Order: sequence, then structure tokens, then C-alpha cells
Amino acid sequence: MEEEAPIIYGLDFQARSLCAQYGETEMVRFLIGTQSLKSENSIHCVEYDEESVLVSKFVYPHPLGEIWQTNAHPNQADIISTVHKGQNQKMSATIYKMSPVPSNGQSIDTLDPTSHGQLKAIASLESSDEKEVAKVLWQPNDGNKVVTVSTDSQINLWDFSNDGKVQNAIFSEPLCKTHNQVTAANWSPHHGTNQVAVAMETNLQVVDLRSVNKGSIYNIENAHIEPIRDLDFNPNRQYYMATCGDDGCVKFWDVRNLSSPVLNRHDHYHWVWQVRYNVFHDQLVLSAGSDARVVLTSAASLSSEPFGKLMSDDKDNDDDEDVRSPLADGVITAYEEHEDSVYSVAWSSADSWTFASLSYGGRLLIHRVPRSLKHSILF
Amino acid sequence: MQTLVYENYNKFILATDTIRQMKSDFKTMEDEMEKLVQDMSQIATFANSISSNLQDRRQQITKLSNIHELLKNLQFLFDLPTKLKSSVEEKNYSLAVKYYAKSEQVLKDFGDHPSFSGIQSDCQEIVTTLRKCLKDQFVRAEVTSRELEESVTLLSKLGESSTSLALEFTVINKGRLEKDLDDLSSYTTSGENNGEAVLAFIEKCCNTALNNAALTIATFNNIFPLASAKDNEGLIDMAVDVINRLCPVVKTKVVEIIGLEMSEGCCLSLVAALDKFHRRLLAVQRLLMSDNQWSSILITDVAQIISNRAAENLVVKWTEELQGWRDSWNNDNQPHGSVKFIEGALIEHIHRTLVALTAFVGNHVTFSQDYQFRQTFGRRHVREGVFIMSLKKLSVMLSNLCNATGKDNASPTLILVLSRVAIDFNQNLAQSLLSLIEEQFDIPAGFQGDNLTPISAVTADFKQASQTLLQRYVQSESHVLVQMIRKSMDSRDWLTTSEPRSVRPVIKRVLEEISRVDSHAAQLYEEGSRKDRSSDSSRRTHHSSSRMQQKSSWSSLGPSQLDSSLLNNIQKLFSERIDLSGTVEPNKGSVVMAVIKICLKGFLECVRLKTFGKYGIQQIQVDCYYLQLFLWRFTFDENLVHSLLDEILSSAVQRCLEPVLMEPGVVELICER
Repeated sequence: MEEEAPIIYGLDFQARSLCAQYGETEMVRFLIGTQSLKSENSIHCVEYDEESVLVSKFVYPHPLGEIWQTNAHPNQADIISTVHKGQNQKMSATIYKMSPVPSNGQSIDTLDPTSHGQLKAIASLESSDEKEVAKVLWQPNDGNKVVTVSTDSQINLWDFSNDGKVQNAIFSEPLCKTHNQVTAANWSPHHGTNQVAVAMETNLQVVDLRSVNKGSIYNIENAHIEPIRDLDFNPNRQYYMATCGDDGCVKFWDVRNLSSPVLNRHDHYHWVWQVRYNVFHDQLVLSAGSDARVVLTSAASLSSEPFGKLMSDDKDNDDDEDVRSPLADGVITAYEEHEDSVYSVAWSSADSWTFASLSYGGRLLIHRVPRSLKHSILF
Repeated sequence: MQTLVYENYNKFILATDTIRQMKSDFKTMEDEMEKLVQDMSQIATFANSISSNLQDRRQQITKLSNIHELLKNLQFLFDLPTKLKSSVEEKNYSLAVKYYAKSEQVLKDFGDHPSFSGIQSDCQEIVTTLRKCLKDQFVRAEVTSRELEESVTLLSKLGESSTSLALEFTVINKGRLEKDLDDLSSYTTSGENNGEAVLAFIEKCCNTALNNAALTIATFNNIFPLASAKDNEGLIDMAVDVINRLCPVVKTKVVEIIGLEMSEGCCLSLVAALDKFHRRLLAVQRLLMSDNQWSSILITDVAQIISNRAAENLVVKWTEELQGWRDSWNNDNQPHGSVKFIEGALIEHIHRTLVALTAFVGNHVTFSQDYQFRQTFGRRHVREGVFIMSLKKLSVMLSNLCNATGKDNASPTLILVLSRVAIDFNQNLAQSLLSLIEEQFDIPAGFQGDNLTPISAVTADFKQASQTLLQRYVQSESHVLVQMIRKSMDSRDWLTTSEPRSVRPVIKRVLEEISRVDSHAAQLYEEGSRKDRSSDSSRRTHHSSSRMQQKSSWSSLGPSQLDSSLLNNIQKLFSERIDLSGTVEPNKGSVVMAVIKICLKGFLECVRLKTFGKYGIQQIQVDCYYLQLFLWRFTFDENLVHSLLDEILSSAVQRCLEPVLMEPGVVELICER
């Protein structure tokens, strides 16, 4: 598989959080939140132009302290949320409106370079009893709701559908009475977007937002032997999800049978900090770890794209069967260009073959999946 | 001449007189002869008349004597039924047959004559009884071959065709052999001792089915010396069929009786039994003039089953052993002794299995003299089936042991011990076992042909297993350590912590654990090569002084004096990327280093998640210095440890709101206290 050299973009600050600007569907654009105790933090909006192979950026200062998590609104390009921590303050979450933002399909270069980016706080997602916020989650698909998960696993649901007005809809008891802190959380795009998964150290619980105080719908005790750092739902197959953790494993689960993972990959040498499905081709899974590596894994056997089935139905294509050998499960490529721990990785929302990874030193790498792999999936 | 005539003149006269005399004498004689002729003719006439008178009488006498003869025969015929009956009753069958043979023709000729038909039917009846008796005798189970022969001869005299008799003979014996087969296949043992039971079973086999088959053939050849090829074929086919079916019966039974327990004694008895069967079967085969390979096929099959079973048993034993160790593992066990103990136990089991199997190639065993068998058995069954297969399973078992989670989780020390066991198998144990097998089972040393699995395939598996186990060991040891560090980091508020007075206990604990790992690894593995290490003491002082300089340079920096990100980047320039890749070399240095690397990297990640106050960072400084003081002795790559510790400290500095480091002297003092 030929390697394409990654595009490197360096930030001057350390950074942990990265996400695609989901509202933007034509330009490859990523949002990075910096994490610096001493200097002013900011959201970097980084755009990659495939044709000119150029990277442009626009910076939005973030005055409320270091950013631990950045999340973009699923549809609106100018709405983001961050989990941040100011000096001597607790972790809290805020929703911002970014300005200026280029209109859809326009390059970031069209913005006036002399103008200053601005983050206007729309809502501060403070719960009444001053808990530390661990994660902010946007409701998948339409973004009408936001969930905040506090470190002690309290779940708050915020209704965001009334534009500009945010109402606290649900306010749950902590899921778990132990001292285990929330280490990961994600919102399932399936089941009417009513399910949220929360990982507390090694345990994973999935709750239904309509009956959040009745405890979890299902849970996986000791999903990993060490804390779970991230989890992601398969965007196209409703019963599948992936988890990753400090044991260096990425595990794929069928939630209908939780006794053991359906696939367990141990491809990292240290903690795995993030795992992300490709939305369009869910056999492609990215994982990032503190072994300074990003691993592109194939989970073709669990994919929603029925490769083998299509082949057998399609008898006419017997001739080129050997050309289209199905993708096997396992590592496709391990990217080792980072020099420090990689805490975050994100697929582009505009181009399903492009992804970015962010290491602690502030180095952003933009990769494209190997062309041969792309061909083998497409044709 | 004249004188002669004068001398004899009177003689001439005398002769003339004599002749004259003779003439007259003859005249009388002639007359008398004529008279004689007349008399003779007269006598002839008389004689003729007498003989013509006697002619009638003579004819009558001849007739009378004929009638007498006939009457005598009739008398016999009329007596025949009684005689036959009595002789049948007296079981003097041969006499009966003789009588019947005498009269058969007559009866047949005059059968339609009313007075004879009665006799005939009587006789017929009796002869039928006779036949029945003879056939009964034929069929009777305990009949001797002489009796059988007699009855067959008699029956053939009674007009039974030899073909049908042969057929019948075949059928009867077939039934008898079938019964033997049935008996054998429903044979059940009562005894406890499997070896003896097998012997008893084979004894029974030989004595019943095989013996009877042999007897049948011998008798047949005796009775039907002139039997046609076709008849003979029928019998041979029958016997072949019986043996064809006997072999599987023997196979299943033997295998069933011998059971799953495979002691050496059992194998010896089994081989003895098989050998006996083999010899008997060969004898029968010679009688049959068949070139079937029954016994060799049977024995090869049994040998295969037995060796497979032996291999399975071996694997089961090993599994039990491994589970036993896993469940009863005591963490106080010293790794070195445990390796020896575990290897000893594993080898013991395979030795026992091999010793049991050597019974098959013993010198006194007839069938093992067959080169083909020895070769197949040694190469296919013992080497491939037992040795290669079980060792491959063992390597899988070893690596599987470390995949288990939950309550099946094996103790890390046991995993370390097993990794050494796997390496020993890789390096010499497998080879020495193979040499033993080659020696005992007649395989040329180092023989590779004949599609044999090369030993390297097995040793490679063990190498792989040992690698997996070592990595697993590193993982589980470092898992515990990282967890300790993580918990300790989480449980403290690093912003408001008080001034450090001592090294945190958890760090001491971690060091103790690492030193335990080190001592365990040192018991099992060699040191490994140290990278550019001149002399311990000088190196250490040199480095610590250089670190101190570095530190003092940090501590002199005020929080505002140097941009932390710049510091970070400068730092990056001098430190190399830390390779955390999982390859662990099988030496002490590499194992310990891998644990330390993962541990410190985990520490680093924990530090990066926290925010530190002034005293918080000083605590980290103290901890790092303490680690640095003690960790160097465990590694052959101090630089790596130092760069990791530097990174921890610099990350802490970056995560610190008020990065004021302690004076190096104070740190040293705290650590040495």
C-alpha cells in the first residue's frame, strides 16, 4: 500500500482536542482546541485544500481557559461546544457561535485576514450543583439537544431546539455511586438518538435518555482491563460499537451479546485515546494512542457494507473476483509520524478519505487513506 | 565196388524179402482200418441220438437256476427296507448306504412295477431319513472332521452333488463363524486390568473365529480334495469375508477395551495380544493363499488410534498440569525452581507416553519386524502424530494461558516462568525429545524427507509463544504498576498539595515492584547487553550531575521568563522519540526496561491530565529524582529512562501554574533521607 506523505500543521500550543467541522460539507476543515495554562487559548480552524495542498487557518480566541474537548454542531458550521477549565476553576462546558465563518463551500481564505475571530458564548451548560463536566455531546444528526456528562456520571440533557434558548430538560442522578470517574462518553445515532454510552474507568453503561434515572439499559463490566478512554458507535450498524482504553486494545462489541467483544485488536503499545468510525465506510476505524501512533484498522467483517454478499450474488463478476478480494480485518496502516502522544483523531466531514490526527505538542497531521485501499472499497 | 556188391548181396535179397513182406502186411492193415471207420460212424450216430434226448432236460435245469437267483435278489429287495432301517437305527450309515447303492438301480428300473414301487417308496423314505441323519451329523455343532468327512463321502454316494455339498458346507460354516463374530462383537470384559482383558479377548478371537476359519478351510480341503475351483472360491470368499469383518471387530474391541488410560503395561499387553493375533492371522492367510494385508492394516490402524489417543492423553495431562499450576500458583514460588519443576513435569509426561509407545517396536514383536510398519509407525504416528502435534498444542496452550482474563487469569510470575519454559523448548528440549524419538523409533537422526514436519516449525511456535508470554508478562506487571501510579495521581489535589517532605510511598512501592520484576527476570534470563556503559559509578555521578544542571536551569527560570511551549520545543529537539513498540527481547534487561518504559509513560500521561501548583510540581520533582536514583541499575539504556523522566518533569512544568522547582540539594536530601 503506497504511503502518501501527510500534511503537517504545527500549533504553538499543546492541544488535546480535535474535531471536524461537521456543518461544513464541502471544505475539509478541522477544529482544534489548544490546551495551555499560561497563554490564551484558542480554537484553530484549519482548512486543507486538496488541490493546492495548502493549509489555511483562522483563529478564534477562547478566553475561558484551556480546552479539554472541542465538539462541533452536527449541522451548523458556526456552532461549537468546548469543555474548558480556567485557572482555579472547575471543568465546565460552553456553547459558542463562531464568527466570522465562511459560508458553506467557501474557503477560509475568503475571510478578511485582518478581522479577528470571535467566540460568542450562547449558553453555559452549568448544572446547579457545580459538578465538573467531563464531556459534552451533541445529539447526532440534527443537533437539537446537548448532553453534558459530569465526572461523577451525572447526565444533563439540554434542549437546544429553541434557537438561542437553552433549557435544561433532564437532570439525572449519577449513574454510578463509586468513585470511578467518567473517562469517555458518546451519543448513539441509532434508536431514535435516545441512547448515550458513558464509560467509567473500566465499565461501560448505556442509558436511555427518556428513563435516565432508571439506570442503564445495558452495561459492560470490565470492558477493558484498564480505563476506557473513548468509544464510538458504528454510524451505520445500530448494534455495533468500538471502545478503546489504556490496555492498548480497540474492542468491537455487538451490544446484543456483551459477554465478549466480537473483535479485539491490540495494535497499540500504550494507551489508546480515541477511536473513530468512518461515517461513510464504517469498515475503516481510526485509533490514536500515546505510543505516538495513529492506526487505521479495518473491521470489514463488522462493516455495514456487505462486501462478501454482493460478490456472491453477482455471478457475472466472477472474472475479476481476485482483483476485488475482500478487505481482511486488521491493521491497514500505522502512521508513526507523530513524536508525542496522539490524543485525538477525526475523519473529515467533507471528504471521507481524509482524516486528521493531533499530538500533544500541537502537531496536526492530515492524512489520506491509501489510494489502493480507497479503490478496493469503491470498486 | 564189385566186391562191395558181392559182400552185401544177400543183404539186398533180405531187404527185397522184407519189402515184399511189408506189402502184404499193409494190405491187412488197410482192411482193418476200414472196419474201424465203419464202427466209429456207428458210435457217432448213437451219441447224437442220446444228446438229442437230453437237450430238454438241460434247458429246464438252467431255467430253474436262473429263477433261484432272481428269487434271492427279490428276497433282498423285500428285506431292504428293514435292513436299511436297522442299519440306520444302528447308525451304521455306511452299511446302509452300501445296501442302498446295491439296490438303487433295480428299484429305479422296476420302480413302476406295483410290487416294487412299495419297496422303492419305503426305501426312499428310509434313505431320506438317512440323508437327514447324515445332514444332521453334518450340521451338528460338535461334529469332528472325521465324521464330517464320512458323512460327506456317504452323502456324495447317495447322489448329492459335491458342489451343493460344498456350498452347504460353506453356508454352515459361515453360520458358525458368524456366530463367533457376533460373540466377539458383543464381548464384554469384566476384569479391571485392561492389558489382561485385551489378551483374553485376543485369546478368544484366536480360539474361536480364527481357529474355526482355519479348521473350516482344512476340513474343506480334506473332504473335497477334488473340489472345483469354483467351489473352493466360494469358501475362500466366505472366509475372506469373515476375516474382513473380524478385523474391524477386533480393532474396535481392542481399542475399546484398552480404554483411555495408556500405561506402559497396557501397551505391552496390547502389543503382545496384537502380535499373537497377527501370527494366527498370517497362518490363516497362508491357508487361504490370500495376499490381503489384514493384519498389517489392522495393526497400523490400531497403532494409529493408540498413538492418537496417547497424544490426546498427553495434551490432556499437560492441560491439567498447566491448570493446576495456574490455580495453585503461589507468588512466593521462586521462578528458577519453578521452571525446572514445570519442565520436569512436562517432559515426564511425554516420556511416559513415548515409553508406552515403544512397545510397538519391541524386538520380540513379530509385526514390528516389518520395515514398512516400523517406518510408518515411527514417522507418521509417533513423530508427527504424537510429538509434533502435542508440542504444537503445548505451545498454543502456553500462549492461550495468557489470553485468559478474569478468574482464569494466570499470575504474572507464572507467565514469566512459562515464557522461560517455552524458550527452553525452543532452544533444546524439543530437539532432545526429537533425538530420543529418532533413536527409539528407528528414524535416521535429523531425517527431514517423507513430508515430515521440520523441527523448526515446532521451535518457531515455541519462540512465538515465549514472545507472547513475555509481552503478556510485561503488560500485566506494568498494568499493576500503572494502576498504582494512576490511582495515586487521581487521589491527590496537585494544586493545593503541601510542600513535599518525602518521596511518595507509591513511588517506593513501584520501585520495589520493579526490583522484584528484575530479580525474577534475572533468575530466568540473561542480563542482555548494556548500551554504552563505561563504569557504573562514574556514569551515575556524571549523569546525575548533568541532570542537576539541567534542573537547576529550570528552577532558575521564573514562570514568566520562558514560554513553556518554547521550552517544550527545545526539549523536543534533544529528546528522541520514545519507542514503546512491544518487542521484548528474551533477556532480563529488555524485560525490565519494557516494564519501566510503559510505567513511566503511564506516569507521564497521568501527569498531563493534572494541573499542578508549586508544591505539586516539587513533589513530582522529588519523585522523578528518586526514580532516577534507583532506576538506572535495572536498565541498560539509562538515557531512555532519563529522557522519560525529563519528559514527565517537563510536562508537569507545563501543567503547572507556578513552576518553581526545588533546589537540587534539597531534592537530594529528601530522597536520601
